[in-house]
Amino acid sequence: MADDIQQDFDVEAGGRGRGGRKKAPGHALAPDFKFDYKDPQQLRHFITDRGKITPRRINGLNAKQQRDLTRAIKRARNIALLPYTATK
Amino acid sequence: MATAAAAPATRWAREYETIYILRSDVDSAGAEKVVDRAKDVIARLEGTLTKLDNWGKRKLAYPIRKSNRGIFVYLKYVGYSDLVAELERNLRLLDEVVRFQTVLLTEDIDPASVSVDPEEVQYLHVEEEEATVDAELERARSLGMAPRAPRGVPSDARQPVSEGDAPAAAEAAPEGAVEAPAAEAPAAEAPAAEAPAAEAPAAEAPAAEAPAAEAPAAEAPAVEAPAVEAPAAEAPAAEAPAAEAPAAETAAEEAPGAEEPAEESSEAETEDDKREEG
Repeated sequence: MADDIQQDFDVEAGGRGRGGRKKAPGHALAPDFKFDYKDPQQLRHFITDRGKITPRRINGLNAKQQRDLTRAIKRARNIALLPYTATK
Repeated sequence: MATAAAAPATRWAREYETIYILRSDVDSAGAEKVVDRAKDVIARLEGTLTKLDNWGKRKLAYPIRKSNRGIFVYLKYVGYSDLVAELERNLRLLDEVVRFQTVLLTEDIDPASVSVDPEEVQYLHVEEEEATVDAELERARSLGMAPRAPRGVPSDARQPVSEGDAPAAAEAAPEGAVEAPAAEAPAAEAPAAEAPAAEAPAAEAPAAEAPAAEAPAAEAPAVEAPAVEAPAAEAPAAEAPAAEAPAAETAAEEAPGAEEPAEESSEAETEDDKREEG
């Protein structure tokens, strides 16, 4: 019975019963939006304080955008516009 | 034979862009020297320089050759792959250049169709400029990232900061609820694991957005009591105390009080339970 209730709780919590995080709005980006590796200020919104690329779970991008983002960030890192690592 | 005849008809070029970084102690004459050499290479290998941009001295994201600053120069040109190889070889030979990167922009360009604005290929000496806060915010908005920052908070608050402050912000302002769920989740789960009765308050608390952050944490002790004593109290607990629970924050004494209606309706509820189980 306890199990049943646990499941009910999960459903009622809006599918985030596993302790997930609320998804960020990714829909604000135009469908043909391209990330530019020459624009670090833009890319900074998609890296953590430590300099890691944020996962899709957090930034709400679709797969194509995420690939584009990853490519842009890695290029920006290579040319020293973004850090590979950063201390907090 | 046919292919050999067709090949020279149009030799498709490609558009590339190269960024190179000069040591920060290079003077303008040294910088000119590098630009001239790049222009020379591009001209020699039948390329066309379409844009030349001096970004000036910038802070590097990480030190290169023990320096934290560098002069960035941006080149955009149309040419063939051997041009890229030769240009990069030359940049590698120059001591002033500490880093370079070439990116392919467009494939299959007709080299004859490329037009050059002479203004664009001037090498200008630029002063440093810092991006303003307003410009950054505007960019954040255009990326749809602005709504994640708590509304009603002064707009210069940076986003990473607001994330860390979420629990505190949630208490102060209901708008903080946008960020709060992350902090909420563990609190909401804990009572659920302990007590079946916690189901309703916990589930409804997130629905009532404003007190959401406060409610689950404050409720937890109050909810424990009936849960341990009477699983039969589940149904009334699901209905009635949902409304009371926020009020019941103060003391656990009220929790047994909430049990009394449970006793009254327990017969009906147990029947319900049997039906559910069966």
